[in-house]
Amino acid sequence: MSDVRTIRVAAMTRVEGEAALGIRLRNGQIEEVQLNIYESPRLFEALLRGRALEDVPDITARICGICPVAYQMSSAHALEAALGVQVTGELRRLRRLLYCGEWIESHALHVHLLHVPDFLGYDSSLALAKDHPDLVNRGLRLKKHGNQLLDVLGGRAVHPINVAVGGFYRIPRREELATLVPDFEWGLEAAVEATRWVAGFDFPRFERPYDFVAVSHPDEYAMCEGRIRASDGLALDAAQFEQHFRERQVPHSTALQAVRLDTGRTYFLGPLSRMNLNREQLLPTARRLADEVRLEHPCRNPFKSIIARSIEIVQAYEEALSILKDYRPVKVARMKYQYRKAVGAAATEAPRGLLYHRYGVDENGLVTVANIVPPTSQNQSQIEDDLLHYLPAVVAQPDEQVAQACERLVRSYDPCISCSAHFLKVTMERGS
Amino acid sequence: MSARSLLVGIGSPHGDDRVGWVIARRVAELAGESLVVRCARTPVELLDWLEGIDTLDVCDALLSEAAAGSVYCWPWPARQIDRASFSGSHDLALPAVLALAERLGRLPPRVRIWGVGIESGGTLQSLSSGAAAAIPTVANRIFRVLLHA
Repeated sequence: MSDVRTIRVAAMTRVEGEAALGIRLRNGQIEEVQLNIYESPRLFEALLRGRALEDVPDITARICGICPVAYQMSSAHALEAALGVQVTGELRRLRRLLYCGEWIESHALHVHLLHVPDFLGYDSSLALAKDHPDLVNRGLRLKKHGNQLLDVLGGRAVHPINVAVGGFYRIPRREELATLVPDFEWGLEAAVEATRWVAGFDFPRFERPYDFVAVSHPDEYAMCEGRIRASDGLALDAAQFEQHFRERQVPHSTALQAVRLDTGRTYFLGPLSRMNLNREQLLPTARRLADEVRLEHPCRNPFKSIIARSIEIVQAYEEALSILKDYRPVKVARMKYQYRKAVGAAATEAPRGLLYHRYGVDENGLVTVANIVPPTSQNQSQIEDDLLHYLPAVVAQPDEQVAQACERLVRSYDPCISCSAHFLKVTMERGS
Repeated sequence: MSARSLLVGIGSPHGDDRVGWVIARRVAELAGESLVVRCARTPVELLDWLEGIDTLDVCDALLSEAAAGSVYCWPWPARQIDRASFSGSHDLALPAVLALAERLGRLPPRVRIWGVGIESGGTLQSLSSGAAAAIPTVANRIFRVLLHA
């Protein structure tokens, strides 16, 4: 006779999107862990086919309210690759500036309102705000700065509309950006203090031999451009992504999962991957801070993603400030291009990790093929694998505490479930 | 109408989810410059607009069993708001944002929530006939309440 124990998180909170987590144990042994994303498929790729390629950045931005810039950037760069367009100079810097805005607003939201409660023993940001209103206000102010940048440069604070294939539709005036400087100077100092604060949290002892993957660039902390690198030495162009990574359908999720083709293994995306692969490219303040708070290099503890994420807020403020202070508007807002039949791919670094897009276009400028691989769907099987290895340390606890521990691990990935295909529900079965 | 009144419409360009925006803009036309009206995509945007405000009205789409165009008005706090299914994102849905604003000392002394019943917030859909037909009536009702506040 077998003894089956089932733990189910019926509604995981503090994640973006809706999913369930099911855990089944038989005779005390973990039998199955499933991250069950049950949102309806979004079908954006099918929606894009037959549309003018100029529509793509605005449509893909609607995939996510938290990371719309990532979708705009990956789509714009993939289409530019197809058209043979290179965005350089001040236009390129403005794109990085826009991405800085998204990293700030997304990371500040996750660190201060969604993730910090896990480390201070609160069940929500609301409970945290009761005892620590200054901490929550600081997070909200940082988030606001990111949204301000999206507003000025992207046309609006959520779902920006100013990114065009080849550049932008409108170039901001110098004074529009210069007025942000005092707020961003305050923000840089506040982000440094916040990083020192989170680095002092107690972290669960849990490390794995992860295969970290991120876009990497020799001259800058990669956001929009670079080669895809893995911690085992793999290096490839974005156009080769589908030759090395494979999406697969699993019965329990409407999001595709991903593994490496050569090893068949899961891989890890996000701030911790970027920090491990690109730490040398951090700007001086962020690099010194990473050393000061003694973030291991490489760091293999997913719970410490909150430190990496906080350092990236500093990095984003530091870079944004340098652009805001010496910005010189250019006369041409976007590069010209000719329609041609071609395929282009690009990978950029969304707040949650590598976001890959590939498009085919025809000689009339219409999209013939679209493929979008979001970071959360790639991380999904890594999360399940993590839970399998983390559960033995916590499974003796009552179901409620096991569920909380698992949710905490999942939140370390800052999953954007609505992007991947939305809520997390944990079911745990214990049996013999 | 209070000199420091703010009306916020919450919504998106999709289907009936836009009713908060459309109604807020209609009230703005009726009220002229005497009322500050803003449109938000996510409730958390509210937190940046509350300084110096003493009366806040929020208009949002409401998924319920009631017919599209049905209108509900609740003072904050109200138990019905916790149970209502407003559009918005998870922990930062409208009730959570208002509770957070209250905890942070940012919430104005007078807050009203206007929930407008909708049929669908589907991507790329237009307003349903039920929601569209209700907009002038709801806007007039909100305007009259603000006028006498």
